[in-house]
Amino acid sequence: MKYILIILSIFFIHPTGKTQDVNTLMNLIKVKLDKINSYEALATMKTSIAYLKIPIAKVKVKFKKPNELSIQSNSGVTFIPKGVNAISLQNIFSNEFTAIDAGKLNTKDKSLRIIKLLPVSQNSNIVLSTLYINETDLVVEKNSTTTKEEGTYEIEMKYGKYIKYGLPDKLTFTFNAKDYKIPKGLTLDFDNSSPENKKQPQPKSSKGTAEIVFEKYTIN
Amino acid sequence: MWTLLKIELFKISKRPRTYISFAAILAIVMIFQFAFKADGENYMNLMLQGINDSFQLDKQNAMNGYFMCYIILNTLLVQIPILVALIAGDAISGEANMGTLRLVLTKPISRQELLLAKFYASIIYTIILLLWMAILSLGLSLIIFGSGDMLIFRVSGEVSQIMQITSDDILWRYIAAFAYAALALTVIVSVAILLSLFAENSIGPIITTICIVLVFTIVSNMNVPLIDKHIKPYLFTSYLVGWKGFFYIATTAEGVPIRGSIENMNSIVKSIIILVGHIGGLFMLSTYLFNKKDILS
Repeated sequence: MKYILIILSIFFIHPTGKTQDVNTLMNLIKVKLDKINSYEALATMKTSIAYLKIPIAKVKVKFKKPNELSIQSNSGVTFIPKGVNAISLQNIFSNEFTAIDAGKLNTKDKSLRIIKLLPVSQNSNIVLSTLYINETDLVVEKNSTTTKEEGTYEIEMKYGKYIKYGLPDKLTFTFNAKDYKIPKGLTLDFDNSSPENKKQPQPKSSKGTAEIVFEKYTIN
Repeated sequence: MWTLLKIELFKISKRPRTYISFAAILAIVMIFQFAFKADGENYMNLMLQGINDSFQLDKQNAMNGYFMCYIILNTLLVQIPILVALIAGDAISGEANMGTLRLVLTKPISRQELLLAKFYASIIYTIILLLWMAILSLGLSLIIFGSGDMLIFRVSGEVSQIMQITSDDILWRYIAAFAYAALALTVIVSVAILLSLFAENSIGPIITTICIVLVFTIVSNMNVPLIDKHIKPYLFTSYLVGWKGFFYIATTAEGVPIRGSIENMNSIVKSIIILVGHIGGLFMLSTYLFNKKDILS
């Protein structure tokens, strides 16, 4: 009887304790992020994908509670990846979810808590989010989210002087994009491409990244 | 020589057909501008198919005067040789047709001087035509559509690409492109003048020049490996679109365009050398044949 109780306690008591811990951690991060009502940030955005040869863009990132985020170009033509609004973590916290502890990821200099979030609502666009959380600073360092419509994207964040607000200094958004092909006759090209270029096959699907470096936040 | 050149320019200015080219360019450019102002977004959507699903882009910003000029040049610079042939093809044959060639050559001028004067006059006409085109396609487009960064759609080998050039890095490319176009059209002038030596009226050399340009252009745009390797390099029409090379901007290993750069300058230089070679060769042949020609009219 004593052994049965011990085994039962392992199955029932231990997971409950961990779930509370995860929820507490999530709540602490949410509270930290909730302190921000709105912010405006000047940033540079470097979008990299095989078929785009575009310069680094100067952009203005605007956020307003609860989860309104927009990226506006300061000048010129800017290619803004669709789904980039997901860089706002408030976007995740604005939905109800079930948090599941998925262990820890130990790197050279730190240990990150992995938490998987499952949305409660069946209508949510998000299917699954995996957060890698720095428990010491209470910030999300990496977020991998699978959505119904935009596929899977990943966000990696590096923090600096705005860490106390949970806002990153640098952010890398990795997304899936469709391939791009235009008929040759439409462009009437001057075929001066280098031999290396000519050998390159057209990629079927492309993974792109948008690297956003925040220069200055104005937080309200 | 200067007097001869002025006389030739005067003759060109007095021909009604000279102004047909200017009117044709005005009409085509304005039709383009009207069409793109009315429904340019559909064209942009066609070029950006596949991109629209992955990126947000302000298409109105992209549809600016610089982009419009590129689209117009892309279409018109294939047709301009026809307009150039109208004047250059008439250079010698027109005189022969009117019976003034023999009369002109009784004056104390060499045949080479006369040919050179007609050659220069045709080049000046070509340059003025290009300036007119630049004013309309670039100047007027900038007024109508505004300025901004320019998108270049390109197929390089098997790879489709979109390149973006910032607005402060475009104007010099257009100046270089128009200068290159002037050189390329001078080849057409050389062909037309050469052909005009053999005819007694203007229609023959004009039509023959147009046919040569059309056939060569069609072959130059065919994507057949055998033609690519063995025929295209020897057709001058393959180099007529070389002006686009000034808009193929070099990029860093990370795909970021380098301001003020050209992806493959060697290819442009090679094209320029080939075009200059054509001009020199054709003009020397014309001079030789004109000196040998038995002028009966």
